[in-house]
Amino acid sequence: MLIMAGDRVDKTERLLNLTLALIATRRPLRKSEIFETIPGYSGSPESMERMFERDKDELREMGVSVQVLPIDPLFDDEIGYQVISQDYFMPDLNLTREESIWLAIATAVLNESSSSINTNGALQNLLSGNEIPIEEILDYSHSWNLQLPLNDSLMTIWQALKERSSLAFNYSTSTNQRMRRVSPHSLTSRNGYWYLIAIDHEDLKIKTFRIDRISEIEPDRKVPFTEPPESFDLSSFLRSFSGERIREVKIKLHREISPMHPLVARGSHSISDYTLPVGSELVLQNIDRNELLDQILWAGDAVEVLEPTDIRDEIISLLEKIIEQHL
Amino acid sequence: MSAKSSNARLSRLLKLIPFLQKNSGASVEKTAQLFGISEKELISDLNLIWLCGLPGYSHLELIDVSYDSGFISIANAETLERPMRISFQEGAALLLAITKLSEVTPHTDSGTLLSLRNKIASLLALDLPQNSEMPLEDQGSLILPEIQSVIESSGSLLDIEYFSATLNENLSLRIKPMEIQSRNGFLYLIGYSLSDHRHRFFRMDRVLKVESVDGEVTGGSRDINGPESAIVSIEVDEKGAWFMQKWGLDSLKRDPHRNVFTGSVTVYDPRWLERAVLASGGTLRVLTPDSHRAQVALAATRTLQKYR
Repeated sequence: MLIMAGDRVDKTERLLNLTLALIATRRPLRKSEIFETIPGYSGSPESMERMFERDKDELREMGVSVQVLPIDPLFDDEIGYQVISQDYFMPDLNLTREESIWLAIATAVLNESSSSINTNGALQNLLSGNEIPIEEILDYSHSWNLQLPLNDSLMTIWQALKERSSLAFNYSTSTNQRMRRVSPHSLTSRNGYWYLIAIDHEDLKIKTFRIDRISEIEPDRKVPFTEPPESFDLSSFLRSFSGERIREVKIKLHREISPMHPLVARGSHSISDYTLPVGSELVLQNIDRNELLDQILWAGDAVEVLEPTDIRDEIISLLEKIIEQHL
Repeated sequence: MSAKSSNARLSRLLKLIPFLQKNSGASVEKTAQLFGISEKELISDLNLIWLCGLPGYSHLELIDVSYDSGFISIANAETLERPMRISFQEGAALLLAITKLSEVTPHTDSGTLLSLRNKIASLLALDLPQNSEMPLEDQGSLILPEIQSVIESSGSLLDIEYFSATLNENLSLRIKPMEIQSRNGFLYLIGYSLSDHRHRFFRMDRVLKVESVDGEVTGGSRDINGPESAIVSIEVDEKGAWFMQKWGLDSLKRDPHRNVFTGSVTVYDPRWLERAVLASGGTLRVLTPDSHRAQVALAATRTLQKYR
């Protein structure tokens, strides 16, 4: 590396000193104070001015938010520059060792996928605020060739939800494909699919869009964000969207069943080593009707539905139909 | 130096300073590795940090760096004690990968991933829906990474507990894990089972527990052809379209008069076919071979007897 002669200061050195000064200061710094104290600003007033403007832009580009604020909060006639610590510093996330490892794996997955965003730097920032030794964790992000299909549309939707901005995208159904313009309201998942709940600008109706049918999504700056009507109730909308739910179903086991079985591993209780013995009667709560029928039939002669009787009768008639079809 | 490379260097320095304060005594060699630079570049970074500090710039304000013994120590840098926030874009990309991972990993891993997801979402001030189908308690689970590291070390075996949907029961097997593959939106572990000397596919989200054990693959042949399979011809009515989407049917044909599709599917274990047809509730019908038809009829009869 070339050693600079005289008092010429390396640009990175000047930028680092500027960042440190702007973070450490208790009040906004005047431009004149910056020029006097921080090494590296030299030349005519105009050229120092130009240098500072460029430095400020570069810092902002890197995500360092240099704020322009009045020096005296009561009078705004004189302004200065400052980086507010709360904006700059990563808050403490208290990541556990396991969470840190998963974070490293998530980065590796992104590196393997087609995603254009490199999160290696973000990973280092997230991990160096941690009390956990970073070296062991980063080992997990190497040589991990896990290619998962990632849906970039979700990122754009998250951003629009946060900024409350409209979206435009191409939406394909089984019959057609066309452009939609919407105001996003929320996201939900059902049966392994993600859905966007949004107001369609065309007819101002609230609709659901399956995320994997969305393509070419982008923020729609032309149309202002529309709020849902005050009468809109998300939870009742979701209830009607997700189909009929059965409040209580009583089943009887005719074989030992694993606690991992989709019927019983329904999130409410954690998985342990026990198996449920033959003859046990269980009550399942708040379960989707179609999902219930699917899982009961999948389990075959291991499970019998006792109540409600209409579900029991439906299973009997479905089984009779299947037998007839295969005789 | 161009704006771009000075940016990259500054952004590295802003990471390096908090990192070195948290990891006092880190070696030059390891640190250079972690930051993806040469030791020479790292030393030049350290020399530059040493020139920086707060206005005044005497030894009281300058950052103090030493790396004499090959181990780095840094002092008087409290201004940059913590790292910089990640950007929304970076955070959203991480969330995307975390969400996807939580959908395909073993169930207990998902708990850990969801607690990580919630932390990142709160960092971005983002309100994400809670998925009621997933467990929320964080059990600190690392099943998938453990499997991966056994595959990489290529020396050891795994004792695996697995929920087989085909058999509708838990299996305990000793396997030699070979590979993790992504297919149809699921992750599969491919392993050679020492219990029955054949290759098996394990859907990752149904792996319950793993433990690595020392040992070798002994006895039997290591290279076994795939399990015996049968080509089964199936008829699907319009309500069963999901089946075609999910599993794919070969030589698909449509009968316009009856509005049904016919096609064939490769079946490795007839017990899987049995359950798939039952669960379809009459929208799938096995046409040939007769043995598979009979087996489905038998399974339905056996189930029906429980209700009689």
